[in-house]
Amino acid sequence: MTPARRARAHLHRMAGFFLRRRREREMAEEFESHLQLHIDENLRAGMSPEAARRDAMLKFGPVEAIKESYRDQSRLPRIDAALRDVKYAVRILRRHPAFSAAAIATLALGMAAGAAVFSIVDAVFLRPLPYPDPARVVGVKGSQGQTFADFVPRIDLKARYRSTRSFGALGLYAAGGLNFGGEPAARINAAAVTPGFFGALGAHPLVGRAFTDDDLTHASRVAVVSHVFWRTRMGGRDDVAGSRITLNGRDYEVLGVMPAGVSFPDRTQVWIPTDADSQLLGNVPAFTLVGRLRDGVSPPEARTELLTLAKTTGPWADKLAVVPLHDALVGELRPVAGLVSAGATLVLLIACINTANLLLARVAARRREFVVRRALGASRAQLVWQVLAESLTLAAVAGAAAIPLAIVTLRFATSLLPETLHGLDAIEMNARAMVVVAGMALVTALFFGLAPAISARDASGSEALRSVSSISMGRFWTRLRSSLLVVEVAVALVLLAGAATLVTTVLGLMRTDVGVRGDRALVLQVTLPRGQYRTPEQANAFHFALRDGIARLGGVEAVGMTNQLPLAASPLLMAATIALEGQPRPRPEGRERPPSAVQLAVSHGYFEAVGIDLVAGRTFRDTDRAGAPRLVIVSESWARAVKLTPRELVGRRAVMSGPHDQEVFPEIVGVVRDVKMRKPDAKFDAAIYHPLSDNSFVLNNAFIVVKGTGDPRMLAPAIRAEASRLDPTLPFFNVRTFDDVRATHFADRRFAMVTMVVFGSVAFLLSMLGLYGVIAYLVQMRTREIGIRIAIGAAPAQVQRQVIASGLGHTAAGLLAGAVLAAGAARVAAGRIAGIPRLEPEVIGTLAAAVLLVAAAAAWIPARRATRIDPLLTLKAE
Amino acid sequence: MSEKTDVWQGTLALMVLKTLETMGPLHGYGIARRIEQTSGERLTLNYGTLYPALLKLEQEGYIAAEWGVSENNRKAKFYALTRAGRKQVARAASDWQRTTEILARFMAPEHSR
Repeated sequence: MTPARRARAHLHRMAGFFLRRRREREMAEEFESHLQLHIDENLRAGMSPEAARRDAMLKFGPVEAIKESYRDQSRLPRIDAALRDVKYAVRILRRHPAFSAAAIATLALGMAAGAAVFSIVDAVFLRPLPYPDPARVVGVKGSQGQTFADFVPRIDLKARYRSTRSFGALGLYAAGGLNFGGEPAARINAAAVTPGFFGALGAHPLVGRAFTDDDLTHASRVAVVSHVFWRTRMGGRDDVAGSRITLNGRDYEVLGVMPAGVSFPDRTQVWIPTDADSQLLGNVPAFTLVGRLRDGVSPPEARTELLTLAKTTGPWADKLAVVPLHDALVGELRPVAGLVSAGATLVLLIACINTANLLLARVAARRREFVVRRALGASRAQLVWQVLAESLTLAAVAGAAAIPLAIVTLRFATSLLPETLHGLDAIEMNARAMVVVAGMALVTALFFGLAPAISARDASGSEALRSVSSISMGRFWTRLRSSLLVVEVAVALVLLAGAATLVTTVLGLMRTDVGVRGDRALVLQVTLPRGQYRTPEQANAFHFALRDGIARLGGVEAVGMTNQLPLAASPLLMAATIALEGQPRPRPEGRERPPSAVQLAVSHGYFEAVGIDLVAGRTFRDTDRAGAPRLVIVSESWARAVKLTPRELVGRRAVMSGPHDQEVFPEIVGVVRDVKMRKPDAKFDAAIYHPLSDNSFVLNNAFIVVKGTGDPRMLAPAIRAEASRLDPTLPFFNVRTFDDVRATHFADRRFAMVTMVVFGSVAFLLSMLGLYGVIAYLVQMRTREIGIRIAIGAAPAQVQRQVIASGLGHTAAGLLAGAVLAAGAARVAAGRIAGIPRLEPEVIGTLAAAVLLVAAAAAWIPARRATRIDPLLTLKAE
Repeated sequence: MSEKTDVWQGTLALMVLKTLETMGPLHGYGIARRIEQTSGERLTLNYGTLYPALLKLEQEGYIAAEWGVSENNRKAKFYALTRAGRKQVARAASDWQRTTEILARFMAPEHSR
């Protein structure tokens, strides 16, 4: 028979399975018609009706056997048997709802956690960048805040280094945002780039062209837009090249459209040449570098060339490294991702162990069943198939439950991730991760599900039937279960210790004093395009009208503006030397460093809104307007630097360079606390605040800080409405609470904390469930022994103690192993993740005690059952 | 083995196909009777055993079945050769020919070898 014909026959038979009712009816009809034809002929031949019928039946043969063979031919008997097995499995699982629910929940939880975490890891870390030959695309990683632009003048890079010996293409970029003046006005992510940028990525425009040197030298107002921007904001038209868009109030010509997937850096929607708009990011964009290595050039070689080109040496140049761009983007997050992945793997491991344990727990009951079935003639293969069907059914139900659970988990987990995370948009329920995880669960279910069948082989039928009640799992299986329990407890303790450590870490970071309370404070950003808001007067007219409008809103306690927000300052914010009038200035070559401070411009109400405490003097007032004498407020550490107490400082004058190289002498009206401008774990910055209202400073990128009487987020719509009354073309962006600003600095660790707390709790729960199962099983197995002991006078309390002790013995062993593992894991983690404290012995001790306590409770329930054993009943049950 | 020879499955299939080729569409009872007659009543089979074989041939696409009415007005399922069935008869017949020829040589008296 040709394969095609065999396949055809198989299809028929498979169809037969579904059409079995109809086939059965047809078969009966056909057989009946056959008999009738035969009877007719017999009658014609002169037989009596009875004889005719009998003869026909006789000649037809054994009807039932023929029907059976006809049925076998009409379907695939193996499928029928498999279906029967599955049906039986479902029945068995439904008859033990507690067991089934526990096993399914365990597996589903483990799979969901695993699939969600692996999906994130895959999208963020594993998937290569969407550029040709992504391994050759490199970025630079330097010390914090230092960028390549600090030592290579941009114009140099444009002119001379667009391609070098090591780099096929080399470009600079700075990420920021622009007001898109479309309908409706929107804030879009944008980047300023040099012509070499797209070449470095290997991205070629889908429509139109990218930038040329001319675009850069003439600071042309030209733009390249992303695929998303083109589709959503420009209608996806083909003739888009040459059309015009408004960015920050200025007219730009669209040169081209990038293909889908190109949105580097930070989900950029529009790229403009580096000099086209200085308001892209704060006032001074922070540039960094991207390059495409030539064939055969290694990153270290490229680094050497870069440093030579830049003629730079020195301690921080040593820290500069050329690394694959993907590493530059997510490299810092790797340790945290590793931690979370390890956690997910451990939870999956626990889930598998627990399922194994639950399946093994049923060995005893099943063994009896199997031995009886073997004695009744079931083949070993049939029993194995039966067990396989049960495990598979279990795994399938758990898998089905895991999918929605994983999607919910993933959505929740994604919401905890920092918005700027590379690959965030690409995170989706990953089929690959799901398959891997489901495969692991399946293997567990199969492997441990087979145990009863394998062990059924050991006992001979007659022996089993003789002493039915004493059939127990073999020693091997009992020991396996106990060791699995030890592993489970150990892993749970490791996860709990990890969770505790991360909670401490994050709470510590959250509580770190940054000099700013920031409670109930909402932060909004707005960019005033320099085209319309040219002078301080124009900008301030808007700012102060907005400030007053917001102040009048209900639920607002204080409102103010600043040019730089604490914990979110531009990397280029630098301290300048500022002296106190009348004090000798330290000589530059002297040992003593001159007092210096970062200079900030704030409106009245700012200190109150953001929560910076006043130490002496006063804060700014509405009446500190232009024309009045210049005023400043200084922070404590500047006060210390000039060696005066805050009180003494108030009323003195500072000396600083003003416009046109003149020195100015503003009066110090107040002293406030120091704040941390960049990171919670950095040093405090000395600061000098200028009043925005004196119009000496034009503020085009303001942070508006609003303190509410309640939840400040509720105020956002009213604030937006107030702003659009003043200028409807201005979009607010980065609207968030100050706590959010703070949290962005350790979003990775917070993510790790939340996942680890969830993982730890799940692992703990599962291990306790496992413990309960094992003890309950031991009690069940020893029912007779316990009954006899009670009958001959053992005190129930003593029996109970012994049962609990056997459970606690396993737990203690697991805790000991877990403590050692946790200490090791903590050391590894502390070396890689900033802010992770040492794992204190007390923490481990407390956790272990808690686990032991719950373990005692978990063991107590079956132990109590043991003491209720009625000796008479147990003995009669034989 | 008794005189009422057991019918080997493959042989039965070939007999069915050959019968249908000679007789045209026929119902199960007709095929059974015809096979018996053709064998000169030397071959008796349980008529019922024919049906699994018919089903198999149908599944393989060598024959097609259709409900119809017999000459004496009984509802019956009629089987007919398909195109693939016709080819199969030719192929199987020549295979059979070859097999019997070879076997015949073995069975022939010593000197004819």
